Amino acid sequence: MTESPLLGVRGLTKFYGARVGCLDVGFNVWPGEVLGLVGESGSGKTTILNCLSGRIAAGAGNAEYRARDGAVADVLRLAEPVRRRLLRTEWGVVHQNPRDGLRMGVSAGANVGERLMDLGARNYAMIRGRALQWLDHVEMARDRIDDLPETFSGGMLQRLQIARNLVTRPRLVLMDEPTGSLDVSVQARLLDLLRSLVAELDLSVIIVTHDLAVARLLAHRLVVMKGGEAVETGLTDQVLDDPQHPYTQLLVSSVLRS
Amino acid sequence: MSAEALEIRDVEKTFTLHVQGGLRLPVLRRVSLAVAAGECVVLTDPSGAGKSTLLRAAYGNYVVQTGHILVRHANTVVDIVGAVPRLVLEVRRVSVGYVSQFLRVIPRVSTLDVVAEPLRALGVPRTLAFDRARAMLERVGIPERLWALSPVTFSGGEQQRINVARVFVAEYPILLLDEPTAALDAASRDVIVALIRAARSRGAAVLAAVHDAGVRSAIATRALALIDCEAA
Repeated sequence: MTESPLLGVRGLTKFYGARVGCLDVGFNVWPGEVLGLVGESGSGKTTILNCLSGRIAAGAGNAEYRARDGAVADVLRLAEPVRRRLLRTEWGVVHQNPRDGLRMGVSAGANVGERLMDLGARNYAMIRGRALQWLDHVEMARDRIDDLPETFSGGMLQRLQIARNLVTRPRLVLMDEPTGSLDVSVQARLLDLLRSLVAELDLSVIIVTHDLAVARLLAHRLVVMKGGEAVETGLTDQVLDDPQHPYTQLLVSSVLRS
Repeated sequence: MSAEALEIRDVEKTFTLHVQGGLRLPVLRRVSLAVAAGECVVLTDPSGAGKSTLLRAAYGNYVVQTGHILVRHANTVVDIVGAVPRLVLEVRRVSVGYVSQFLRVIPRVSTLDVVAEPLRALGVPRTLAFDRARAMLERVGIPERLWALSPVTFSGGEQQRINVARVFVAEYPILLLDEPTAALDAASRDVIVALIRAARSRGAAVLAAVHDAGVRSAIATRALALIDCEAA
């Protein structure tokens, strides 16, 4: 319990013109922890993720990441080559739409192998072997390795995107509604897969979701977002079963129970 | 360190329902009680008196306004009130088991995996964890043909027994039981009673909410009404 957080976000703020994206948001992510960002559309969840991954520039704040070698750096102010390297090595980004995270013009195997090659792997047999292993991990048939992603279903695309991200053994993975575009049975399968991968690989994850059932099953801790601000944070089941903030109470009571 | 495994001290809990105009519902009024190792304390109040609320608070699932909930955990005492989420999760992993009235699992995860999971989290090797999970499922009478299936489609009684199985398989030193026999027939009820008595004899501290008078007298070393645990 004395270890330090992997990522410490403080005062994260982003305006789109006069409109608030996120305002003075702070949280820690601990090693092995799955942190859920929940709230309705437009509450700032994805803005936070995009600021952290450098997709958009943050207005203010800092996000200190403790790298594998122990060095601490503010990821909001990394030089571009350093940021790109971090995103290829220690971090992963799983987009809601797998097409944003995959290269649709190359085979499934190439999508997975590419990240290894980015890190300097050149042995073709090794790269292909690792790609096959990862197809197994994400429960895809090995004989699809040479197929183009275009021929895959939505659930398969999402699993391929996850394989592409995890092949380099990242320490922190940012996920934006990873189950959002999938139908319910495929969603359950992906949830199960994500949960076992997180535990096996001791990953830390920041997952954005508007689906409280997904949040309950995957996240250890939640940050509830409203209008760009974090209004409540706590243990996942506590936030969902005994919400304190009026907005969280509204959010929880608005969910249809199945 | 006190001899108690679980001590609830002056705990107050009031729900504020913001969606209903800020309606305030006081449920626990400065409740104090303690449970020692090897003891089974049964709460006897009628429905709505706050038994479930107290059990949930002790598990860190509900937030309380004041007081302390002291739990013996790995040679220390942790106050669940105000503990950071990571510490609460660690206490749950190692020291405190909670049988709720609902089973919440990911669809598609097999019953065997659900029951073995707490052992896996404790670092028990895979084969041993699954052996113990099988033995526990057998004990609570879940037929083997169901073990590979997800419990989401099972009957209420089956789900309840799986709930009990996954908590008792891990042999936590502290057990919080919320109507563990509610949805069960007589035979299953007797199995759960035997499990609770066995937990007691290995030194577990048990706090339980139980309506059934027969079950109560079979498991309790002490019966308490919350109303008598409130500060004067």
